Amino acid sequence: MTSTTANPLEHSHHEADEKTSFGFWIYIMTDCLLFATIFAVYAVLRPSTFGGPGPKELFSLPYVLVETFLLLTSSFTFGLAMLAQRKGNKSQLLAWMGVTFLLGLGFIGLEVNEFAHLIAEGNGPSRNAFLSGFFGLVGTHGLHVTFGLIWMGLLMVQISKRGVTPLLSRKLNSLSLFWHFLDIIWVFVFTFVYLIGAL
Amino acid sequence: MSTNHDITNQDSSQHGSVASYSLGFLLSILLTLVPYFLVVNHNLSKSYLIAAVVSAAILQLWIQLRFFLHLNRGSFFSFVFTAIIVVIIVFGSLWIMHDLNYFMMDPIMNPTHQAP
Repeated sequence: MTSTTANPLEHSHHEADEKTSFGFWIYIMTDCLLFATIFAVYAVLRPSTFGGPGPKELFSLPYVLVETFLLLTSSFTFGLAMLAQRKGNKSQLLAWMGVTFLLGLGFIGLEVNEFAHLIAEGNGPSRNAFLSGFFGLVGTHGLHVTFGLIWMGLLMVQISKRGVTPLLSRKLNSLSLFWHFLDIIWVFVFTFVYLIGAL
Repeated sequence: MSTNHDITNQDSSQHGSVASYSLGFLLSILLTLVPYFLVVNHNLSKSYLIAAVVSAAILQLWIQLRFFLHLNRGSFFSFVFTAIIVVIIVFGSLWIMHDLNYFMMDPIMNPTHQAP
């Protein structure tokens, strides 16, 4: 790819792209602070199980590993979607977005199932401070992924109708930052909640 | 894909390629499996395991930033600033709450802690 700054229209698009992506990045950084406070709350409340079971008894590591792989793979397929977008290949873009969407949906499905099991066994968020912190942290991440999925679905509809316009590719770029960011947050949830919790 | 971190080299650092995405994906899978099996097999002592698992997570963070998020200069500095605030929030909270716990502890529950 060569830079096409000779075309003034192209140039202004490029500038708008940069501004949007930087602005969205600042939002993601504030979201990082939100997650930092929730992680801190979880870490503080973690020992307060009120006589109930701790993370070691409650969580199944293989199950969480599958969730992790779904999310990691969805991040990779979103990367491939972004490459297809840059090549201007609309059908390939939609196909990779579809794969990403399904992987994200699988992740949310597994998480909802995990939550439902915990609540059904009487280990809901109201049982003790540790479980409140756990549902707060993992639930906030899950909500982010859910909103990411809604956004992705809407974008897919718009792209299939209008093609990859400069506006849509700007939105797509923001969504890709958001999606990779959620992947990183999950890596930390996986590490600090599940892996260290199992020790 | 180049290993050149030059800011002027926007194309490879900002957009990535199939090769760079695949490499990032493979490394992130590896950095998930290694701590997972370390914890499942539980061969090391607990403090070593925590150190290994946390370093894998930090390495994973770097891999994802490098291969998936393609930080440029402006976003890099805001990221560093955010990282500093995150560390202050998390470690500061833990430190303060741990201290409070220590001073509020019931001396009967904790015989090693002598009430003044």
